[in-house]
Amino acid sequence: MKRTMHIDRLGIISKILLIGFIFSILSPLVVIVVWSLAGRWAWPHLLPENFSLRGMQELFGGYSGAMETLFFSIGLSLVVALLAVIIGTMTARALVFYDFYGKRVIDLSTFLPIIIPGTVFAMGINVIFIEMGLSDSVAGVIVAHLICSLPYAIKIMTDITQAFGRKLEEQAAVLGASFRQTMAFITLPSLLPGLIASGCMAYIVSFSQYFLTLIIGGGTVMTFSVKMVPYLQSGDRTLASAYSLVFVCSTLLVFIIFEKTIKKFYRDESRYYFA
Amino acid sequence: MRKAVPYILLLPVMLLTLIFIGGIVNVIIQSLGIIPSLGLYKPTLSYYQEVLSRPDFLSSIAFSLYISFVSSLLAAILGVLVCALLVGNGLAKGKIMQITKIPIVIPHTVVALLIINIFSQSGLLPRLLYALGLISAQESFPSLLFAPNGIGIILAYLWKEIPFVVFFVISIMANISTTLGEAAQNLGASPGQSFRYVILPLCMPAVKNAFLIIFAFSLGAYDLPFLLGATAPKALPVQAFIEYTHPDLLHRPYAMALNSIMFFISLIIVVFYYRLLQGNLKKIER
Amino acid sequence: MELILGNLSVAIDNKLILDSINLKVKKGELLALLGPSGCGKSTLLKTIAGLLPPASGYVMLNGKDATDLPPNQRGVVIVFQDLRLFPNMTVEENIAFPLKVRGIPKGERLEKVHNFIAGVQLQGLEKRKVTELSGGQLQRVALARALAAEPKILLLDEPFSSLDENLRRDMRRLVMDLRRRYGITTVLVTHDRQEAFMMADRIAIMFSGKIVQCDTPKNIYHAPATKAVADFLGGGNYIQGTVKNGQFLSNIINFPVSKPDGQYTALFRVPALKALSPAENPQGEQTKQIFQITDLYYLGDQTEIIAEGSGQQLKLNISSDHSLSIGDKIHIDFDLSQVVLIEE
Repeated sequence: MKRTMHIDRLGIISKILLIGFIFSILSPLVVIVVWSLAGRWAWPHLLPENFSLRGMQELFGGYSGAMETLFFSIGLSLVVALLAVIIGTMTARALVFYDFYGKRVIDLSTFLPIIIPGTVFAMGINVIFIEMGLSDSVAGVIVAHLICSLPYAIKIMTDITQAFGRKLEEQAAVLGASFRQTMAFITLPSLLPGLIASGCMAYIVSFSQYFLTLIIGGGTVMTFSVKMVPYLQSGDRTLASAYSLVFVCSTLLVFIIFEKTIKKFYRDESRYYFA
Repeated sequence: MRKAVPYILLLPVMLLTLIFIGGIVNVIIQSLGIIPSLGLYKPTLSYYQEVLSRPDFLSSIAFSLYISFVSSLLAAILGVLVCALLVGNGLAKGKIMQITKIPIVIPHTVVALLIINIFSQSGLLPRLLYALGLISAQESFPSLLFAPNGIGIILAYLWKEIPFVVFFVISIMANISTTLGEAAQNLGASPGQSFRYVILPLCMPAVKNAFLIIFAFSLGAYDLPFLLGATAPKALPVQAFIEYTHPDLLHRPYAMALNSIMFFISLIIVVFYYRLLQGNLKKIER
Repeated sequence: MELILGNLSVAIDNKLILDSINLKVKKGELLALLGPSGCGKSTLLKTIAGLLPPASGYVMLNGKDATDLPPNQRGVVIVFQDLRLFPNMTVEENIAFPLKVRGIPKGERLEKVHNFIAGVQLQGLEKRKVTELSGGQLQRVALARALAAEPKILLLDEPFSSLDENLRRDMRRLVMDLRRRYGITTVLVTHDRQEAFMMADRIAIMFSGKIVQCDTPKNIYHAPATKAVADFLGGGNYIQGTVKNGQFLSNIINFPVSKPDGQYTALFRVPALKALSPAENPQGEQTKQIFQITDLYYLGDQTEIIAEGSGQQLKLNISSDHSLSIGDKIHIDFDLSQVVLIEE
């Protein structure tokens, strides 16, 4: 009897702690939703005194250029994500399926950009980019973002490539499928979860980059992240929260569309067998 | 031909790695005072000497190490705690894990705002304490943000990094818990003992791994200390960027010396990380 | 189609897995590749299919060198041990896959798929996901898919090893049926000698990367090339001895043979020995020796006896309605028509 009571108390404490954990993740997000719609919200009110669409108008009203920046930024990060997925898949294949000279070195070096600070790399590379003409250019920003997001894409693709191995590809080949057919019907569909995950990861790393974009883009390449930070510093919390909200929502939206499109593409592809 | 295949597949990543290494090498060269475009040719360690003797630089290094170490250590401990709670309640998969992933996709710049909204002296927390009668005025809430104690920055890192640690550790912990944890309990261990003697030791490599990654990241990250830090001391990356953008270009080597110091610290972390990886391999081979 | 392997060697990670294999499989033949696990059987199949490049030697298909032909152009299809069905496709889609990659139009494809599905008795499961099938059904899908590729040569890599005894028997019968119907040249890899004896026209025995003997099941059984081969085919009682002037001499038994002089081992399989009680009058000179029973194992309708005498241990079976017990003395009758002589 005593024992079960003791276990119950432990269970209750652990549930309370977990609820606290979930609350501390979600409540700040709720707060920015409220702030983005707040008009006046002075000390010491717990709720806004009135609501206003000022923040939304600033973003969607067309005069701030926020939407143009957002779409440009999404486009740029999609390019980075696409490149990262392609290069990540290639690198994973090489690392998993082949033995070659220098494999360990390359394996380790693909991981370096996660550990070595981006700020160090950014300031070092900027000078080189200036000489190469990549500074203040979209191409330069894409290359820099790609370097930061590749380690994640490579890690995810290596894991899934290892998990699937070569078995199904071999089977397809002996059944008469060419390299291209094997890729299209077997390899890519089996790697699909990894392709989506590494694409999303690369996208978010690129889309979030503030310092790197600022220094390589030199203010010429204006991403949403770069545009947003002055508002975060300004003390105008309605605008700051509105920008943050749009940032987060656009990311989620891109993820959903991304996943749906790829899955739909492959469902149609497999329907082609008999439909 | 077959031999060339892996190298062709690796071509793009090698190219990008070369650019990355080029950036780092450039930092080290400039930190030694070699910048031909500014007429500096002679290698010297004087910039390091100066950096390591100037009080403002030294306090930058100390401040950065303090922020990273405290936030990463707390994140690792609390992350393991949350993992244990999730696994113990059979919640290692499902909705709660989806919620746990949210902070991972939210950028540090936005996290700064989240923290300002709640912990600044006009934030929601002081308002709540005021409403409950626990503080009498705005000013009696301690200043956590933009303060030399760096608590705002640490809180922001914790919000991002605890979920990261959970994400990094939970699958292995859930796995161990259902197999070896059950075996331990079957042999008479209490849930606590099974966690203490079996599950935790086996998860430690993953936890250490996660700690190294977030420690290295927070040490070299610019965004949070820039948005939430005090005027003095400044974090290393912020200080380095100030020197980098100084109108007098002769300040550039100081920036690069600071960057090199960050680089060498992270290099030590890489060595630790590699050792950890090797150790794991040896354990598996045995 | 005829398959010839010439001096074929394969190395993986600088380790020699296959050591100059020479093998010829005739058109329409079923050859069983029999050997212990890890002897390189699967590697050999993969090399024939073009999935592994040989270090040296050649693969000839119908008289043409195919060593450098890519796997999808060989017409050599493997049914792997782990089946490798595509998890993203239904039963029907899996079987249609080889037709689709050959660009066969939809109508024809559908018709052929239905024929193959009927051929392996899977009607009604067309739209199932392969994750929803039982072990035997998965086998049938894999087999139908391989047949749909219209293989010139079919390679079966221990395809039945994961099935229980009854299902295995069904599947063997199905494979033999299908093979008779389509007349495909087939190589069956197995470590089960019963399976090899039952299904094969010829058996190739493989030990550690080498083919040590290749012959019809009967010849292999009656004239194993080495003691290792005999062992792998079930072994029996080995008696060391010498042949001199057409006479096999040992401390247990002597008998006339038509072999050249030299060191030999005589193999008497278990059924070649018969126990006689000392009361029975021994007929031949060779059975006069007395053996003592050291162990008795009840096996159902028979009982296995281990008997010792003259420093030799012998294993034989008697009918279970005996009245013998451990320690009893017996005579043993050797059936000389069943002896196998192996040169050392």
